Amino acid sequence: MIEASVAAAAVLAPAIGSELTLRGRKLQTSVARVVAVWVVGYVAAATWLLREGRAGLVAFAILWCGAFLLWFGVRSHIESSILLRMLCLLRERPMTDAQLAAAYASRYGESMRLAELRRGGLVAVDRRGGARVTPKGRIVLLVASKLQ
Amino acid sequence: MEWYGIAGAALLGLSFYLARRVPSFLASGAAVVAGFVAATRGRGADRAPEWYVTTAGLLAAFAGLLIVRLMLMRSVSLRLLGRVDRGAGRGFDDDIGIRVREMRVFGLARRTHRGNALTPLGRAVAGVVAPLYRALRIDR
Repeated sequence: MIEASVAAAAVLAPAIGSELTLRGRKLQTSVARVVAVWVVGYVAAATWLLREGRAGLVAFAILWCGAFLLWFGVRSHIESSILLRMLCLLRERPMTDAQLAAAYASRYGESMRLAELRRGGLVAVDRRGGARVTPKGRIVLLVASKLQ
Repeated sequence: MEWYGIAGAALLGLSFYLARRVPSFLASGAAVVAGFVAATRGRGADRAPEWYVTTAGLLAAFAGLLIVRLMLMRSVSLRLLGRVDRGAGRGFDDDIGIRVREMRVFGLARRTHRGNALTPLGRAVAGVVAPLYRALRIDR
């Protein structure tokens, strides 16, 4: 039971720590820092399990990987889902399709998305103001194309 | 039990890579988790905590990979990145229009004489999401 409690704490603490690290920023702009927070949580819990001579290191590793994947998926989805943003916009008042699309575009439109990609280092703007994908962005596209 | 857990995690990863459609990943992932549960349930009461932790981990990984699969298929930012790379024209507005229609298809909104309005399900989802935006400081 102690192992299960330590495992639960070791995934809850990084989840909270990640939010403190992100401080409202998009996940794509701070992936390395977030992964570092989770790794610290894993190492701390794994060290405790080893020092106490407790079993369950493999079980904990599986839980940690699963918890990280779930947190990553949920956090990414919440921050970037158009559908969820539109639901919140419709809470204000009913809107026609055109009004809803316009309201979304004015608050979270293409320029905002491009700015986020720039902050994440995935897109750069050249001297003439044209956007181009950075090497980091190309890696993201390559990985995504292999998984899609 | 460790080897079953490792095999389960590896099979989930393989399913994610091979099953590119959501229904096929749902089926294969559920089969992997169910297979682990069936193969290891009742293997010693002293290892029950380990079994619960491993099962929770596999379930969390399955759910997380499912969300990642959906995002890979639907991500507007990823498509925008691809369009910038190709130097292609605008397509963002089309993506927005599709989402507006999806809200009705998923039963989150319905047409009224004043336009789209939230259904009870839509209000419930929005009621959960709006505080999350504030709590995670996303909506600044």
